[in-house]
Amino acid sequence: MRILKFRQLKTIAWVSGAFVFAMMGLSRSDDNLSPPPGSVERINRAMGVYVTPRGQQYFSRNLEDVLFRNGFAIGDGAFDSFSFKATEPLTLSRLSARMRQHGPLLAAVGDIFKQWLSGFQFSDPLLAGSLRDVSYKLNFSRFGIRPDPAGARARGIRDGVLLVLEIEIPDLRIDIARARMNDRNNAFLAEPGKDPFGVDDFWLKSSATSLPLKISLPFSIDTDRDGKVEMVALPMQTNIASLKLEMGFKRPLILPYIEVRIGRGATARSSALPQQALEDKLLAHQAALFKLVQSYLKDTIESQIPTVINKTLAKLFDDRISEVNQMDPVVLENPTPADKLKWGIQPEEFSMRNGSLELGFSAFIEDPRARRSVALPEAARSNAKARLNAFPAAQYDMAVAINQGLMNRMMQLSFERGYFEKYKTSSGETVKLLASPEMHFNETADGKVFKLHAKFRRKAGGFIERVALEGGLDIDVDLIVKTENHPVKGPRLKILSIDTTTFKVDMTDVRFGFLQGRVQAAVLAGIKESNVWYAAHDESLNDAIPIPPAVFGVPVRIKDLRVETTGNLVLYLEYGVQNAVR
Amino acid sequence: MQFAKRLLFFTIGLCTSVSAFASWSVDEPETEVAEAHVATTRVLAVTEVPELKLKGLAEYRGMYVTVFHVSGRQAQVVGGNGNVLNVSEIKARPLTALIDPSGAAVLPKISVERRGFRVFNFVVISIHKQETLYLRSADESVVKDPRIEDGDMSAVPQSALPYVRAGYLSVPDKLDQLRTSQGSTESVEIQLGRDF
Repeated sequence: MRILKFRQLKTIAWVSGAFVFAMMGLSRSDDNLSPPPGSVERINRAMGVYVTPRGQQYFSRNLEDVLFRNGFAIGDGAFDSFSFKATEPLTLSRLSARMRQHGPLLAAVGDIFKQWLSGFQFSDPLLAGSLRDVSYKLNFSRFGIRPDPAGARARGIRDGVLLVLEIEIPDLRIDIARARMNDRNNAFLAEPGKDPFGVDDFWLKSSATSLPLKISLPFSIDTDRDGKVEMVALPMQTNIASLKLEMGFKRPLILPYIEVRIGRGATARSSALPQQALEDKLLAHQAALFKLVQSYLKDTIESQIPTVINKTLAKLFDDRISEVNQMDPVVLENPTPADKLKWGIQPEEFSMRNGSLELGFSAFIEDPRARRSVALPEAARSNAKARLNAFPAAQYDMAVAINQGLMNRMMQLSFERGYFEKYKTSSGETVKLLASPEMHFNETADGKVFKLHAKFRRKAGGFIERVALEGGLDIDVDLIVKTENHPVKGPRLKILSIDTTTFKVDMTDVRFGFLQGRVQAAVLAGIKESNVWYAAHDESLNDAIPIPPAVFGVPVRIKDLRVETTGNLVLYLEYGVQNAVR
Repeated sequence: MQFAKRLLFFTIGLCTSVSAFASWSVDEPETEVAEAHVATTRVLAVTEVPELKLKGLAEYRGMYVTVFHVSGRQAQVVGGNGNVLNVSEIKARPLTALIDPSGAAVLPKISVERRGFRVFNFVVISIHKQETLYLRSADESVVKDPRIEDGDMSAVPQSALPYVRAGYLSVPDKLDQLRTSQGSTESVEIQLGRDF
């Protein structure tokens, strides 16, 4: 009697693989997909993503490339136009911190002028401007993000992660073909339809003798006890005030026409503002002008940008950040949209371990059609973190650990749906599974082999079996499965055999006690026969675990996959980037 | 209102007032003073895409092939094999060619300007029966296309959306490698099945 040849559990490993990479597009929960609070069977430590020091190097040195692969270029670019309109007029009360010290002087000067030019109305400026054909080029000598464990310790960050975005630009240039500005509160400054201020062919660049522009922006990332992600931009630093800049523009500048007139009638004298002299002065004093602007920018960047970023982050993280989506149930062939299950992942932990950046996620998978679901047994899940001891960290870039509980939960929900009632085996037989199959990575040694428990009912076949058995036999078996990174078929879970030492036969349905020994022997013989078949055939639980071609746009390839007694399946990944810096 | 005070403030606020900073005592570092009349040579960032010679399309002879130069990112999705491209922008006017009896099609070289922060990083190749094809992104929306001048993609008929086969090439990982391996900057040969 041939016992059982398990047909592919098809989607289980397939979904697991895709599941893992879904976290890369984490977003806030979609309310339509979110399960009601309290109803979810949450699996803690469901997944872990580990970026080794080798893997971090790519992001610390090649962030520009990562952005390019995701469709963004910040090194150079051009914009057809850019315009802005102030929503509020400029007033002396809104001077920048650096300019505030000059406020009383400005007010005093203003009062003097007020006396002499009283009666003339000049409103608070309400500016609007436009730029056309703007292009820029930034040559980065460094643009990357890296963990900073020492900085974290110095800042008292114990459990979370401190990431630092570092930018170094030795050479920058900005070109603006046409810039115009008008004051909507003082239209008299220019003729109707014209702008009072403007410049053409303006350019700004760093001087050849300038220090490179450096910007450093640290972020702390942590989760609180409720699982809420806290990401905070810390004060940033820049040396922008120390840069040497140069600028130029096409003459003449567009400025309001200003004329001082003294006297009346034929004897009156007038004097117009000497625009050329003004432009000469502007260029001659550009260094001082730059110093003012650069100091202002330094203050603004260091004080205001983290505040602005934090407001954005607070909005983004005001709820639990998570990814909630749908998935096809395992085993079911040709599922319809109505068959889909809901799943979700949520960041649980950010930390550093032995130099590796560690991101932990909890997860849930729920059946929206089920009124209630049986809790996943403790033995079917794992609460341990992956050890990642298959390879030294220097030999791979990234590892992804999948908790056996996650895979077992997928099978449990399919079992509860009844998809294992008529489970087709490789030999074409149909068996009924009596319990949800369970993968147990934690019952063998670390390595490539693990066990899959299955309890099924085998119907009595043939005259003798029908006489001897009450309809059939309930049998417990352990499939011995090996992880394999097949050179052609890809990463998969290959069935090696059925364990001949751990199988159990329920003798309740054996009609005659004296036959129990023979039934036991027959089952063992059937298992051995099946094992001969497995040895001769290439049978796996899945077609291939689909590793998406890229993570964050960076191509990845699987180095190997292993199981651990921690109860995790671990995928070891390498970046498939030609120019990856090692 | 106080004309002078506001005018002064206005100019200082803009940091363009010569009199404003001339009256202050500011140490001037040694800096090269640029000429005011320097003619600006604005060179737009441009990506030159060589002529694409598509081969191995015998199965589709008589159909059309359209090449889109797009900005996008590979999607990490559940429920797919992960090999999905999210297209955010078409960066140049799409090119269409008829697949000849030998199963080949040639798309001329093109310059793709870099405008905005979105950058051309993927080439999408689609084979279709109708004369004109418009691109749908992973979320099923029709991607804004330079061929529709007013940008109203709702005007695109459903009959312009179906394709027979489609694939994409990453610029850094595939197109640049093909160009390098084939040693030509003028044209690149792309084989169906092997390259996309």
